[in-house]
Amino acid sequence: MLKGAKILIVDDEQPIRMACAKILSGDGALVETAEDGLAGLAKAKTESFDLALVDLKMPQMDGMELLMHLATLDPDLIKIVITGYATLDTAIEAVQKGAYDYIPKPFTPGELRTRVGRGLEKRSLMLEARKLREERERNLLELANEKSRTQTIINCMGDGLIVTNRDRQVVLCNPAARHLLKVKRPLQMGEPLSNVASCPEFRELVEDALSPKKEGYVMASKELPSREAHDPVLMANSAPVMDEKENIIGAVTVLRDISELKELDKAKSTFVSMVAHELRAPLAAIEGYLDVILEGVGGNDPKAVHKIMERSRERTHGLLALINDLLTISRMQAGRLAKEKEKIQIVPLLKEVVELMKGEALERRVTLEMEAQDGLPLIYADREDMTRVVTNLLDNAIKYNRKDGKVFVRATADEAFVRVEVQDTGMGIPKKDIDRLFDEFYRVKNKETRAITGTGLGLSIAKKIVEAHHGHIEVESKLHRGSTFRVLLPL
Amino acid sequence: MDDDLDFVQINKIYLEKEGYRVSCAYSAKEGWRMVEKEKPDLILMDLMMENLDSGMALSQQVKGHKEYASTPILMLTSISRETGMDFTPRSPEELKQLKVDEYCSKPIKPKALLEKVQRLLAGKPGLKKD
Repeated sequence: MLKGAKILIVDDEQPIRMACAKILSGDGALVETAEDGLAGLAKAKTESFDLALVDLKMPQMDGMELLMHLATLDPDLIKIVITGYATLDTAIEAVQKGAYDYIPKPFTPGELRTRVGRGLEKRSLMLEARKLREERERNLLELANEKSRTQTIINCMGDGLIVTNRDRQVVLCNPAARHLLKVKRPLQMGEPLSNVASCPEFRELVEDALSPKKEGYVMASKELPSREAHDPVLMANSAPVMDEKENIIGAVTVLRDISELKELDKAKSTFVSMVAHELRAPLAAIEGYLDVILEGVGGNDPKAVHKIMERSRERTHGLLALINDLLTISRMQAGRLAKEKEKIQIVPLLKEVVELMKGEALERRVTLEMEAQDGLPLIYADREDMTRVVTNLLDNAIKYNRKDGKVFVRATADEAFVRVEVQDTGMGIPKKDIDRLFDEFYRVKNKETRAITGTGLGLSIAKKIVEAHHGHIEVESKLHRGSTFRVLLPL
Repeated sequence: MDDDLDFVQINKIYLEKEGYRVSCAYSAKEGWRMVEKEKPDLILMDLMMENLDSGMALSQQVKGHKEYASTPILMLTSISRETGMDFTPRSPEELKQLKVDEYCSKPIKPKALLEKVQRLLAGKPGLKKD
């Protein structure tokens, strides 16, 4: 017990000081001594002790006063009084001043060891108790923090959370749930669920969670339809809450706004039906033409037959173009747009596309001309994507041109953008069609465009690609004069 | 009348083979001019041409004009339920409201169309094939 204990001995009688120090340090204690109250206090202020042996009668601050000072320095310090005037009164006074014990002079080494040993035992118990007390206080604080942290998390959740007890009363309802269920006021603890959940599907779901129909029930989900036009569509998941004996004591329901998913789903099925429609039209035409020839309905005029074959081939070509566009769109939707960006020179790319389109232009007696500013800066773009944009624009400029028309391809730049322009001398775009020009499957329908095949996807693809490169695409058009498509690509 | 060039061309061939005289128009505007010029015995028209309801407006115009009120109209359309719209009349009353004599969905085989044309013209007196 004494080993390693730090002990302060304060006594004006040098022999007693020395004797005590010798006995205690012989047992392994670390001992310091002082010859009066003041010196003792000075020592106690510079280092901490486990136990102090204090003589009562001393010059320069007596034992009683020292006891009080020591108590304020360290309330857990064990103080044992050594006194030659072993009266009951002084002993009581000393204990009242905070002494743990007293040793009457004269004493034997054995007595000293026993009393000091007991005092140190008390000290270690006190320290232990204090440690436990502090730990408990810390735990309580943490618990309070934890509770408020959980509360904060629940309140900040984007999903709605509602907990109901067995009596179908709401015991927790976070702000998101109130928002999703359009409950404007704050809720009182224990309001009936029907105050919060107006739709019967929600209440049924909670009922299912509270009284599961089959064993091994874990969770049930239900889509809650929107009641009014702009109400969100909610997905609700309910699960029973069990106590430690696995009795159901309530239900927890999580609400999620799935309106966007539903919208997406709708958009997707609209797209599929539009695609089906667009695929059917050219195939029906080709089948019709084939029937005409196979059944010999149109007579045997080779010129007429040739015309039919040509038109069939044109529609077949259109069908293939549509399928290619659809593949591009699927590539875009898989997020593979603008993925392989590299520093590219736009002029060689433009020249390549112009060269490739020359055949098509010649067929329609359209000439392609190219003008490029010297020393254009490089752009950071996906080569395949850019080729697709330029091809689509050139294809339109050729197809919607007049006979002997022209197409100008221009490339210029300023500090911020590289600008690519494709200008044609064709029929132009009516004002009413301009706004929807970049919509999927939108095609300008009039007398002049009737015989032109197209997918209605080319411009929407070009726009998506340009925007994926943080660029911009715009169009200017004059009816019967021509159109100019301009692509701005950031440097 | 139909803005679908191929549909017009193919059915024109079949109808002409049967001896009908066929005039074509590719929009409602052109169609009305054609009606006034040719005074046809039967009109085949698409419901959706330059506008969603071009055909519908034109059929009202034709049936509302005393000279053509008795000209049978066969309305065709490729808009169907899967494109989100359905104008198919469900009863003879609805058909009458549409101001058409018959309504059918595309795609339709030329032979099926021919049969419908023949049936609609059968009721017309004083008509003979060339």
